[in-house]
Amino acid sequence: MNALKPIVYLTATDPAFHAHLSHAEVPEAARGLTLTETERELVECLRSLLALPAGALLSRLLKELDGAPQSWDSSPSLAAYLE
Amino acid sequence: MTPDAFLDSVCTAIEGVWRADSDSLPSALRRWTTDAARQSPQFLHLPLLTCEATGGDPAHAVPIAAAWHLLHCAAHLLDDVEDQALELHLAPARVINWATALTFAAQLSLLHPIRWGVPAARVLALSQTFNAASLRICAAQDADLAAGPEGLVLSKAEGNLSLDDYWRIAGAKGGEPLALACRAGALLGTQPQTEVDIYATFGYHLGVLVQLGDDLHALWTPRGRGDLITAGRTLPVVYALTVASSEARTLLHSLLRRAPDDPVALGELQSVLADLGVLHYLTLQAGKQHHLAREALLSAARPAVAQYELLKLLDAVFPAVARERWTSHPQVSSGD
Repeated sequence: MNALKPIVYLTATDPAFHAHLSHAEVPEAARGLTLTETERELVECLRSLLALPAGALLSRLLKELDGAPQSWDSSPSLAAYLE
Repeated sequence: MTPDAFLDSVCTAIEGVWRADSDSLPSALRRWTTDAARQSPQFLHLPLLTCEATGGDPAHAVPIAAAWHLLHCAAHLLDDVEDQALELHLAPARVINWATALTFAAQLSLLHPIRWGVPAARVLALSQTFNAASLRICAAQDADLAAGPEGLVLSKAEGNLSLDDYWRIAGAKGGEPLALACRAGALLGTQPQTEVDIYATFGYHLGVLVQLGDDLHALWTPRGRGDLITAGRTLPVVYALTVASSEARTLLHSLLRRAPDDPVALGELQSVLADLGVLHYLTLQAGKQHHLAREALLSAARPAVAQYELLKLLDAVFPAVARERWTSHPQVSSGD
């Protein structure tokens, strides 16, 4: 999955590349990126998320994470037990 | 065994350990451990589900889950001490002592399956599994602490924590605990070692996925100053420091130092991180961890109802990438 980092970097820094994410063909090859089959399919699966601008993506991630199991978020305060 | 009945049994087992051997510890600590189990039971079910998936007796998973939870509570307390994120009124020295007590209580609970006829050799294997995983977690915690709050590798002049460093630490601190919960439950079953390893792999990637969600929350919905003090060790910051220019890295370090006490600096930090693509990178990596966990689970030789519950838990941990999997085509294939 080494090629994922440059894809993200291009997504963030190259408006033309980011615009292409919302279309069927991601122009990785044109930018010299060589994806494995799994990397390509992973990008394909997540295309609609990756095509979102950062603000919209953040809202979507946080909204869907609301209520998701987390390590310790919903654990009781130990200090409250000692009062 | 239903999840509720299992949870009740685990809490009873924890209370049993406390009653037998630790009357002098504060009752508040004992109540806290069982209440923590009841309030966050999702991962506590992993030993039960993997035990069922490998054909084990669910009752044997009770003391194992109790041991895992006690150890998890100990790790949580130690983490807060080491990150200087303890709640007010909690004395670090006392908390360290309580964490030590929790660790030994976990060891006692691990011996209980012998009373129910589980062979001693298997109980020894469980004990070895718990202790080896704990050592790996401690080693990762040491690397994490050595990196310092800003993610600077102290042993290399001006070096930042690399992405490789991050994945190694996240794997050991986030992946190992849930791999342990899954491996311990699967060890109670009747399946060969290869099947045990499959469930441990599932737990490992599930744990890393949970860590990615925690990292996102730490930066964008922090619970307090403690989350921001250690923000330099989160994936968004480590990734940003990897791809940023020298000038941007200097700005990032400055913002990281100010963010815990300055809401304006925190806002600017969040904005710089987003501009560097950290949210897209985190999304891709979350998709990868979800994929690896799912592929591991589906490779098990003995499909079971418990697998369905494990998949549901996997999807619930990071719903955005799970939803995309089920609505996008083609699905990611195995291999690679």
